[in-house]
Order: sequence, then C-alpha cells, then structure tokens
Amino acid sequence: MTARPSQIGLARLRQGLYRFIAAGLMPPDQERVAALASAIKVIDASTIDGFAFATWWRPLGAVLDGAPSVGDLEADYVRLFEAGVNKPPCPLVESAYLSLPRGPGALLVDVDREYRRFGLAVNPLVSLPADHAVLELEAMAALCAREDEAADRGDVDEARHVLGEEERFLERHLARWFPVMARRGAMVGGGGFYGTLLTAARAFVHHDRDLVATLAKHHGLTRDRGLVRDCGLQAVR
Amino acid sequence: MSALVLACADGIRRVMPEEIEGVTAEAWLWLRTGDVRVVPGLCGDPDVITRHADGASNLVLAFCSADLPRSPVQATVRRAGFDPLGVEVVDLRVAGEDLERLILIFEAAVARARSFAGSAPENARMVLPKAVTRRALLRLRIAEYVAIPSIEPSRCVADRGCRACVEACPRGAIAFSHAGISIDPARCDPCGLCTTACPVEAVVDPTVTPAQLDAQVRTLLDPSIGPRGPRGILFTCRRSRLVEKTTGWYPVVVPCTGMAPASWLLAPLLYGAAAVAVRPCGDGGCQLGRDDVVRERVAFSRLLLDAIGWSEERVTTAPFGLPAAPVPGRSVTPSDVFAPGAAGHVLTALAERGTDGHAFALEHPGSPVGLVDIRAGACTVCGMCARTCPTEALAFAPGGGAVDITFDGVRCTACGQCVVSCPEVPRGAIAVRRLADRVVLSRGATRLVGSDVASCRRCGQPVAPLTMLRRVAEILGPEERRMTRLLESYCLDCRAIGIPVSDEPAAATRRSDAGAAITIRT
Repeated sequence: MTARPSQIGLARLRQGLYRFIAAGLMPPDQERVAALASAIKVIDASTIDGFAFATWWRPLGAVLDGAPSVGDLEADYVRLFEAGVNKPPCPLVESAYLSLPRGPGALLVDVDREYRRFGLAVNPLVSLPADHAVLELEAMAALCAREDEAADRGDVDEARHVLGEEERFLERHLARWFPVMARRGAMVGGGGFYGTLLTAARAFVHHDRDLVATLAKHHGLTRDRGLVRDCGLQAVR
Repeated sequence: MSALVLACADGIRRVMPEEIEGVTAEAWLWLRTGDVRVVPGLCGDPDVITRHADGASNLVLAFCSADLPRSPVQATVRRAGFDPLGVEVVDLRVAGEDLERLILIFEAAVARARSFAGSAPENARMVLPKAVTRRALLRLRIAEYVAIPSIEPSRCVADRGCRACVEACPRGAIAFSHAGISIDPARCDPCGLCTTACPVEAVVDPTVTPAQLDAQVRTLLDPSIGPRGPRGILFTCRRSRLVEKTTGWYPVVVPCTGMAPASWLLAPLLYGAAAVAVRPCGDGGCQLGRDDVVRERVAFSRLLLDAIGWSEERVTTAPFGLPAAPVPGRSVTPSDVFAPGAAGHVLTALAERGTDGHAFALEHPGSPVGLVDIRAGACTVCGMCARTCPTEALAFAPGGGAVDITFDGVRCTACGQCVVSCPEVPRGAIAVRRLADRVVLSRGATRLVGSDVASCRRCGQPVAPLTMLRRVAEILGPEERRMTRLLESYCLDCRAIGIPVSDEPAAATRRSDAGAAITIRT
C-alpha cells in the first residue's frame, strides 16, 4: 500500500524536492518535462504548505500546467547555464562561485570525498563534474532517503547521524553556493520555467539549511563549516 | 480585489455581543478598502480561512488573542495563497468594547497589510514548537516561522566601509566577509535594530518597513475614521504580552522598541498625534537591554519639543491621559517619515510647526542626526570620508581646478563611518557630534573644506588636491624631494606611460636638499 502524500515523512518529502530540482536542472526533454508536471501535482498535494518555502513553490504548478515547449526550454537552458561570452550567466557548478586561487581541483576532490563518505560514487557514465548542482542535489536526496529509512525503522541514532551528514554537506557545499546561483539565475530567467524553478529551489535550499541546522542543534550535533574555513576558500557574490 | 478582515466571532461576541447579534459569516462591516467578516471558531480551527479568503488581495486576521499557535495559521494562510509574513494579526483584546475603535484598528491593519511589499526566502526563520519529542522531530510536519531581516545586496554599502548593522546586532548574528554582509538565521533573534541602524534601507524586515509603519500610523491618525478625540500612538514590543486598551491610545507593534529612533517618536506628531509613547517588553524592561537607549531617545524628543515650544509630555514612556492634539501648522509633512534618511526632515518639519522661534540646537546621544566637523588645518581633502559616507551627506565636489568637501546636515545619520575611514583622525581632522541643529538641517549642502588641485604637466588632467600632496611631502620628508615633485607633476596614467629622465627621482637625495620648499605647479 502506498502512503498518501499527507502521510509522507519530512525526510521523504525533502528527498522528493531535492530530486525534483535535480531533474529540473538536467537538460530538458519531453519525457522529463512530463514527469516534472506530474510530480509537481504530488508535491502540491503534500504537506508542503506547512513550510515557508511553499510560497515560492506554488507558481511552479502554474508554469508547468502551461506546458512549456521543449524547444523554448532548451533555448533557455543553454542561455542560462551553458553559453555566454566568457561564461554563462549562472553555470551549474560550485567551482564557478568560489574564489579558487589554485583552480577547482581541491574542491572537486573534497566533493568526491564527501560522496564516498556517504557511500556514494559518481556514475562514470554521467559526464558531469563532481561539483555539478545535479550531483550535489542527488547526494542530498540520497541522504534524506537514508534518514527516512532510519526513522521508519525507529533507529533514531542512525537518523541523527545522517542528519549530521546532511548538515555537513549543506554547510560545506550545496547551501554555500546554490542560493547565490539560483538568485542570479532567477533574475536572468525571469518568470519562465527556469526563473520560477530557481526561485523555488533557492527558497527550499535556504530553508533546508535552516531546518537541518535547527534539528541538528536540537540533537546536540556540532556545526561544521568545513572546506571554506579549512582551506581559506571564499564564496563570491 | 479588496482586503479582507476575518474576525473570530467568539472574540467579538465576548466584548460587543449586541453588535454582531444575528450576523452571519457574510460581510459584517465595510471598510474603506475592504470588508470584515465574522467567522465562528476562527481561533480554534484556522482551516476556515481558506473557505473565506478566496479572492481577497490582502488578509487581516483578528483573533481572541495573539498567543495562538502560529504553525496551523501560517500553513492555512499559505494554502489560501497568501504570504504569512504579509498577513496582519489583530489581538481583539486591544479593541476593548468600542466598535469605532475596532474599525479604526482594522483600517490601520489593512493599510499596513496593503503596504507589504513581499518577502524573500531568507526572511523566514524556522522555530521549533515548544514541546517536541526526539522521534517526533524527525517527522516534523508543521513548522513555525518568524520574520527575520535579510540583506538587499544592491543597496548595501558595506563595500564602502559601512558596518552599521554588524555593530548594531546584539546577538552577533551579522557578519562581514569577502562576499558581503550576511545574517546567520540561527543566531538572529529578530529585534529590528539592524534595520533602523542601516542608513540606506539595505537591511529589510518585510514585516516592519518604513512604508508599512507610515501607512498604519497615518490611518490610525486619520480624523475621518474612528472615535472622536485626541489619539496617541503607542510603540509596543512584539515580545510584550501587555494588552493596551487605554482610551485614545493605539498600539503599533515593532520587533523591539529599542529599534525606534527619536524621529519615529516625533513623526506621528506631524500626522496629528496628540502624543507618542514607547513601551518596552514588560515590567522587567527590554529583554535586549535597550532600556537606556529608549530613555535617551525619549529624552532627546522631549528636549526638542521643549525647544520648539511644545509640551514635552507629548513623548513619553507610558500612556497617560491625552492632551488635545496640537494645531497642525502650515509646513508640508515630508514623505517616508519612518525611512532612515528622513530624520532631519522630520525635525525641521516639526520645528516649522513650533511656536518658539522654530530654532533648536541640541547635542544629545539620542539625536537621530549628526553634525560633521572637519578641521581645515588637519584635513588633506583626500575625500575618503565622502566616498564612505553611506547617505552622501558628505560629498566630494571637484570642479574648476579645485575640489571641495560639502556637508548636507539633513542627510547625516551620525553613523560615524567618515571618522572610521579618515586617515588623519590622529591629527583631529574629522569628528561627528550627535547634534541636531535647525540651521544646519535647513541650509542644504555647504562647503566644509577645499583645496586647489595640481594638474599633470603632460596631459593637464588633475593629479591630486594640493593639501594632500603637501601632506604626502611632509610624510616622505625632505630626503624624497624629487619623488614628491614627481608625484605632484604627473598623473597616474602619465607616470605609467613614462616620464622624462630629468624628472626621475634620484636613487639617493643629498641631505642638503632638506628643508627646501616644495614647488607645486597648478
């Protein structure tokens, strides 16, 4: 028997949202757009209204209801994320948003090390760098799924441990650069699919960092600001 | 679309049963920009909001008490398509038993809700419900949110040296880094001090913007609505559990009364308030320890009122029997009186309505405006103060082979950034006093210091102010006379291109050059 949306656990909901954003940031095709349109209906029917980011997710349903053409989406995708005079307006890789005096190598190694800590590895068939938004979002989704399974088993200690890993990854990587990229992308993307998706994604990632930090604090987990502090790397505007 | 007020029928029935006898859930009262519906069981079952709020542009909720759990209300409001941070909540206990007073409070809440300009994702901070088990925490379905400020990067002048918000935050939640100003939501205990400390409105709490306060206060003082008689504005802290029903006084809720500068306490008088009171959290005083600051600002306001011939009792720390409202003068009320840069305009507009010669000159720690003094002998006219001034009260005005530094008192918020940036502070070049002087506020931009400017011998472009070059020469000393001559003779671009061999500084200068006067070509 499948759970009704209103019965979905918090971690499972977060997993779904991370996966939705990751799918939305993959190059568009007909099948994916259709899948996103049906997924947003499930999300809308869930407990999302209980969370502050819901305000920015509501418009997504209307945009996807309008059945945007794949051709237009492809043009927007290239304009926003892939092409530009020097570089695209908002590249989807973390290294583009950090001041890296010695190149992105140390960052890529650190992201890859984080994936391995979680027992994950980048599929060699996927031609994306380790610091790509889609991979970082999928990694968070995997952690959320693990937290949900632990909570389902009643294994609070394991769930706490995974929560700590989520906080670490958000602090070290995703939450540090993704909102900056999303803000920039939303400004360039306007009211189209990508502008709306990036606004919703920015709200969610910001909220998730806040949520995970609050839960971790409640559980007495210490905060790890990680790579940026360790290596003297700095986020750029 | 119009605004909608949903009022809990039980709360209204408790205080004015005859007023709603026989009233159904349809519109009960008509406001200027919306209507009021009484809803049975609103406090107990917020889900009814979705049934009633359809089609409304703005929403005001009137509950029996403001202490209800926030999470179900916020979730329902979101489901109804509203941003919870833009929904005003009225505590029906504040209205008392007077229908006219209730209507006025509703009108003002609607005005405030209509001035809501939207929030950003960074403006919502989650707080955990008071009682939650470890296991339930991982299944958390409904969260509560409070509004916290966010930074508007396009307005922020941190890159010019401003750290006003960082210094104002009592929790250490605001930090400056390479990426600019950032707020740590986990540390922020929203008090609003940073929002009023920011001289350029770059720190924004969407629930307490100058526009919202202006709309609410103007409406509360609009003589065409509500009960007759004098009215007072009572600034109350959001944390306060006090329910004020003193006749004639109307509460304006702010995150912390310590955030209110003296200009906020005086501005309502321009709109016709008989008096203004500011009340901290409770009997124990301000939870953030801002009592002294509040007292200072009240004291300044009272001194100013006394100076212009008004009763100083019009600004106070506790509501009292209201005097008649002062007769409005002929001066024009400035717009945006609650904006950070409006303090000077508020003071001058008030003085124009005074009866005692319209003059004042008050040096006081509670003054919302300042006066910059620059000592001509020590200032080198380098312009650093003008470049860092966030409100452009200090300006660098080049032209005609000379440069001036001007000061416009009405723009100065006494933030002190000019002093921090000045390289000649040890010589006493610049100082800021918290001084409100009517003459300074009214005279516009005036020249404080100036200097002729040296011109490049090759291209004719300005090089630097002569006073600055003299100071550089003084620091370098007579041994570097030829270097000094080079600096004063050629602009940076021409020095980069190359200079005649005869003008190159010598590797070593003879000691006998010491004491030679510098010749500066203009």
